[in-house]
Amino acid sequence: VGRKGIFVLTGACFSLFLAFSVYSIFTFSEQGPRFDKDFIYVNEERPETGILAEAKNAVKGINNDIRFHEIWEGRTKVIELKEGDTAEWEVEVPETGNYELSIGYYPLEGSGQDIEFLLALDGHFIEDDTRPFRLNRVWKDEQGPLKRHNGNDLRPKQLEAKLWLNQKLAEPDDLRGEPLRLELTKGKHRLFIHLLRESMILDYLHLSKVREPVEYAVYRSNAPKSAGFKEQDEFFKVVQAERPYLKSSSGLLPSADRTSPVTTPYHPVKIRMNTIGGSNWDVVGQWISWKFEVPETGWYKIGFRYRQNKSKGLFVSRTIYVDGNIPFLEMKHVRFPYGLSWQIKELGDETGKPYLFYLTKGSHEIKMQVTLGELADSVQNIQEIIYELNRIYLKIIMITGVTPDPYRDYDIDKSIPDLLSDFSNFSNRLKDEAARLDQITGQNNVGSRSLRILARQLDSFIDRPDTIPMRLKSFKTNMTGLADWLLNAKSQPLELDYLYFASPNAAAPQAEANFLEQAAHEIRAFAGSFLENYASFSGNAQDERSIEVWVGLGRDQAYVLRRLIEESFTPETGIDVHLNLVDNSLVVAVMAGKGPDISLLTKRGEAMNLAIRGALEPLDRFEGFEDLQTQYMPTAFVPYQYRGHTYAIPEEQEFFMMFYREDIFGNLGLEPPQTWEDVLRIAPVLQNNNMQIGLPYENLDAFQLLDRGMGTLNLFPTLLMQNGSAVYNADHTATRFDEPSAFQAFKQWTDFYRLYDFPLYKDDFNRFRTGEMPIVITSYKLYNRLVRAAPEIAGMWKMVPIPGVRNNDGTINRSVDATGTASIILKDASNKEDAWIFLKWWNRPEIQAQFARDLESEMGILGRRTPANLEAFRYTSWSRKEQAVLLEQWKAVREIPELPGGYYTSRNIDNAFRDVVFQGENPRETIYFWNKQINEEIRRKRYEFGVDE
Amino acid sequence: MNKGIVREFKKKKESYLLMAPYMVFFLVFTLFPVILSVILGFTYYNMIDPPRFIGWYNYVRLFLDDDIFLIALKNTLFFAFVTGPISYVLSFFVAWMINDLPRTLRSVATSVFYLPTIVGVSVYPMWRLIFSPDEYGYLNGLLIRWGLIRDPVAWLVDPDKVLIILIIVQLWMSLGISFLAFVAGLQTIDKSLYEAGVMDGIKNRFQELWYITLPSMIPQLVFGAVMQIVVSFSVADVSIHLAGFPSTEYAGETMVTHIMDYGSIRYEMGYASAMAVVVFLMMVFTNRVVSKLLHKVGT
Repeated sequence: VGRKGIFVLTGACFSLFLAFSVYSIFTFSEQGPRFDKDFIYVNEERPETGILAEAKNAVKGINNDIRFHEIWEGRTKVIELKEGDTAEWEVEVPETGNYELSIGYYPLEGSGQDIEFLLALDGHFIEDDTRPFRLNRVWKDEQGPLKRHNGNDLRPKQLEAKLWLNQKLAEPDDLRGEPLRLELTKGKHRLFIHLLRESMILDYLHLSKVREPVEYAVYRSNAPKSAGFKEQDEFFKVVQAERPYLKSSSGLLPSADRTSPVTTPYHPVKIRMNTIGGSNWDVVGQWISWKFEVPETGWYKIGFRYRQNKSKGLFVSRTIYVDGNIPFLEMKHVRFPYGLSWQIKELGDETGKPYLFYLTKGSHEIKMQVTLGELADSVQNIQEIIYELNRIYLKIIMITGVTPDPYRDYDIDKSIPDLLSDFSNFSNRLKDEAARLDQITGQNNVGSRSLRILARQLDSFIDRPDTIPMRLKSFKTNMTGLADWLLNAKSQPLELDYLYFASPNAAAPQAEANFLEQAAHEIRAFAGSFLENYASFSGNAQDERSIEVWVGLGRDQAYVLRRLIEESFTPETGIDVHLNLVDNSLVVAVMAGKGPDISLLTKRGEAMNLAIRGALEPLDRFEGFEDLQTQYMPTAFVPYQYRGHTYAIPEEQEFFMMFYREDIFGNLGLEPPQTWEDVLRIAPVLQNNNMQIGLPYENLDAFQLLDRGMGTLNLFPTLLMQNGSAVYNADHTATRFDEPSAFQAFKQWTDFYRLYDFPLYKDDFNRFRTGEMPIVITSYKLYNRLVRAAPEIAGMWKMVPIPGVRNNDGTINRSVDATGTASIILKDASNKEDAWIFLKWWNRPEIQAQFARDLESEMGILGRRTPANLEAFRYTSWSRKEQAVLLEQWKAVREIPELPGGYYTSRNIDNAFRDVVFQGENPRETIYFWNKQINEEIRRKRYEFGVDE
Repeated sequence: MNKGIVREFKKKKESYLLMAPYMVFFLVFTLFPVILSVILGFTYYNMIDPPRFIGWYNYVRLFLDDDIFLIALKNTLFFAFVTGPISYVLSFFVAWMINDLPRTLRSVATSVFYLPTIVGVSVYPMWRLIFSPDEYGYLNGLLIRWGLIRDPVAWLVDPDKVLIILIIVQLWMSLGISFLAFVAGLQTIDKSLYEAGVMDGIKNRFQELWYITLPSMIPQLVFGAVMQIVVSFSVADVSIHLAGFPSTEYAGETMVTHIMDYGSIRYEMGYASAMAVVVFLMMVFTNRVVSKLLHKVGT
C-alpha cells in the first residue's frame, strides 16, 4: 500500500506541476506597448539672486578676441569660447564668505566629451591641468516608442539635449561630488577661465553664498500655509525609471532585467528595456533626472523600486534634488542598502516614517546624483593610510629586497627610525576607521574586517620587529586586500525599476514576486529559451542588399556595434547587416569557404595570413581609399601591405609607453630617463634600493605570434629601429640582422638582462603599484588599469614616451613598433561595393569615436579604445594632455611589415635571446645563426607563394 | 565468393545493423582521415589551393632537411620508451596495491590516483606557478629559502631542464585509463585460482603475481599497453602548456607539437600529414611488438 501511495503521490505532483507549467506558459500575454508622450525640454533658469558676471562684461581674452553673439538660442549678448580660448571677469563681492560658483552655458556640438577648463581666482590657478574642472553635456533618449528588432527592445539612441544649462562647479575628482567652495573677501576679484577642451556659448558666471539645506523638521514647518496645504488621499503614480528626462552621460542607458516578473514592463523571453542604472551608474557626480506630475498641491511621499546587489554589506548613496534644489538636509545622502533581490525604498527617517515633500500642482523634476555620502571621509582616510603604509613597505624593501634572506637579522627597527612608532600610529588610525565604518554601516563588514586584520598585523610587527622581513608578503597581501575593498566601496551602482509618488496613506508596492509568480516566470523563461537565439545579431529580413560581418569581440561590444549599425548605417544606406560574434576561427572558416564578407577587429597576423594566400580583397582599388589613408599615421598601413596592395584598414595601434612613479623618483632624486644611457644610469640607484626596472618581454607562443604579428613583444625591434636599422630590408626579401647596428641593438637588449639583471618575468601592474618597480615600459593600456584599479597611487605616477637614442643633432629617436587590429573584406564577398561602403562607414572618425565612447560608457575605463584614426582619436576620452603625450610617442611609431613566414622572425629572435640570456652564449654568433634560419624560412615561403620564381 | 558474403550478411543482418552506427562513425572519423593523411602526405596542400602531388618530397625533407624533426623524434621516442613503460609499470603496481584495500578505501584511492588525469588541463597553471622562473615561483622560493640556490632558476625555459620537468608532470598525470583497466582487471580474477596456486606450491606474492595474476588479466594488460602507447606518442599538451610553443631551442618539441607547428601555423598540410603518417606507423609497430611481448607473460 505504502509503495502504491508514493507512486500516486508522485504522479499527482508531477501532473500538477505539468498543468501549472502549461497554464503559466499559455496564460502569458504581454501588456500592449506603452506610449509615453514626448518630453518638452526647457532651458534651465538664470539665477535671480547672487553675484552675476555676465558674458558681455568679460575683459578681453589673453590669446584671442572674444566672439560676441548678439543673440543665441533665446539669450542675448553671450560669448563663444572655443578650445584654447581664455576670458576674464571682474566681480564685486559685497561681503566676505564662502561662495559657490555656477556657470550658465550652452555646449556646442563637438566630440560628445565633457567640457574641460582651468579656473584661476585672482591670478592663481585653483587646480592644474591634470585635474581640470568639468562642465558636463546633458543627454536625452531619442523620443517616441522604442525600436524593436526580432521582438526585442533596442536601446534608444542617445541625443545631446540642446539647452541652456546652469551648473554648479564641483571639485574635480572629489569623492563627495560637492560643489567647489571659494573663500572670497569683500571687494573686487578676478575670475579667469581657460578652456582646454570642447567649445561652448557662455552666458554668465554666478557666485552665491554657500547655504546648507535645512533639516526635515524645519522644512516641514516652513512650508507655505496656503490653501493647498493638505495631505492628499489615495494617490499613487509610477514613473518608469528607464524613461528619464535628462542624464549627465550618454552611457546611462536603459537596461533589461529578466530576473523578476515584477519588473515592469515584463516579458519572460524577449528583451524589454525596463530598468536603468546598475554598474554604469556608479561614478560620483553622474546623475539622472525624471519628470513627474501631481494632480493637486500638497504633501507627497516618494519611493523607489531598486536593486543594489553589487556593493556587498555596504550601502550606496544618492543626493536627491527636487526641482533643482536639495529640499532638506536628509536628502543630501540617501542610502540604498545592499540586498540580493529587488527592494522598495520609501524616502523616510530611520523609524520608517516617510518624509513628505511639498509639491505644487503640475510638473516637477527629480534628480538623483551619485555621491559617496558618509563613506567619503572613510574612503579618503583609508586611501591615505594605504599610501603611507605602502611607502613604509617600500622603505623596508629597500633594505631587505622582495625575498629577504631568512638567516639574516636586518634590524629593521633600527635602520628605519620611527618605524615602530609609525606602525602603532597607523594601527590606531586603522582601528578608528574600522570602528567608524562599523558605526556607519551598522554592522561588521568586509572593510572593517580588512582594516582590523591589517591593524593586528601592525601590532604584531611592533611586538616582534625581527619577524617583519619574513612576513612582508602577507603584509603586502593585506594591503592589496584593503585597496581592493576600497575600489569596491568607491563604486556606487544602483539599478532602478521605477519611482513612485504617492499620497502619505498609500501602501508601498510589492517589491518582489511571490513563490508562485516566480515559478511561473522561470517556467515561461525556460520554455521560451528553446525558441530564442540570443547570439544572433542579424538584421531584420532577407533584404536584397545585405552583408555578413564577423567580429571577434565580447557581447557588450557587439551590442554597441549593433546599435550603431541600426542607428546610423542601415538608415543611411539601406544595406542590411548580419552581425555575428565569431572568435578565433576566421582563417579556418575562410578556408572552408564559409567566411563572412567582412571581418572587423581582425588581428593583423590573421589578416595577413589570409591576404598572402589570396583570400582578401585589396582595398586600394576602391574609391575614397586615399582620402581615408590620410587620416592615419604614415606607417599605419605598412603591416597590411603585401606586393603593392593594401588589404586592411587599421582600427587600433598599440605601442609602448613608459610609466614611472613620481613620488619614488622624487625621493631618490632621480629624473625620468630620456635615453637608454639614462636608464643604465638610474638602474644602480634603483637596484641598490632593491627596486627594479620593468622592460617589456613576453613569453613566446607560436599561435599568438601568428595572430598578432611582431609588435610589442619585446624591445628588440624598438632598439633596432632606434639604432637606425630595421627588421626587414626594402625589398622584404630578408632581415637586416646581419648589419653591425642590428648586432649592436641585440647586444644592448640582451645586456639589460644578462649584465644588468632586469627582471624578465613580472607583473607590471602589481609591482608598479607597490613601488617595487617604479618604472615600467609597456603598452599604454596599463594606464587604464592604473586609473581604474590603483586608487591609492592616483596622481603619483606619469605616462611619458619611452627612452630613445640621442641623435647627433640632439633630438632623441624614440622609434617604437606597434601591434593592433584591422578590418578586412574577403575575396569571396558577394557584394564588394556594399562591403566597402560599410568599411568606409565603420572607419569614419565620428563612428570610430562614437564606438570608443559608447564602449567606455558601457564598460568603464577598462573598455577604453584608442582608434588608429587620428581624427577619431581626438574625440576619445583621453584628455588633451594625455593625447599630447600619446601623440608624441605615436609619431615615432614605425610599423613593421608582415611577411610570409614572418612568424619565424619573432620566434627566432626569442630563440636567440634565450640562448644568450640563459645559456650565456656569444650574442654575435647567436644572432647570426638564428638569422640564417629566419632568412631560409622567408625564402622558402616566398617561393611557396610564388613571390620569387 | 561474393554470394557467400551476401548470404553471410543476410544471415546475421541484425548484428550488422546493430554495429552500423559505430562502424559509420569509425569509417568516417577514424579510417577515412587516416587514409586521407596518407594520401596528403604525398602532396603540397595549403588548405586554399587544391593539393598538388609532389611524390616523396615531404618524406625526403622530413628525414634529411628538418633538424627540428629529429629533436621531436628523439623526445617522442624518449617519452614512448622511458616515460611510457615507467608509467605503465607504475599504473599496474598502484592498481595491484590498491586491490588489497577494503572496498570503500579502494574506491577512494582509485579516485585519488585517477584525479590528475581528469583535472590535467586545468592544473597546468598550477604547475606553471610552481616552476615559475622568478623568485615568486614556489619551487624557486622554496629552494632559495632553504639556501640551496641563490638565483631563481628558469625551470621551463632552460633547455637542459625542460624535458625532465615535462616527464615528471607527465608521470604525475599518467595513471590514466590503463590504471582503471588494471583496477577492473584485478577484480575479475577468480579467487579459487589463488587457492589452487597455494596448493600447487606458490611461495610468495611475486610468484602469485607472475604465474596467476598477470596471465589472468592479459586482455587488460594489452588494452592498457595500447592506450599507454597512444598517450606516449602523442604527448603535446604538457609541452605546449608548460614549456611553451615552441619551447626554448625546441627542447620540449614532440612529434605532435611539430605537426601542429606545420599544420596550424604554416598551413603546410601535406608536410604535416607526412609526419602524422610516420607517427602512426611508429605506433602500429610498437603495438605489435608490445602485444607479442605481453603474451609471453607468465611463461
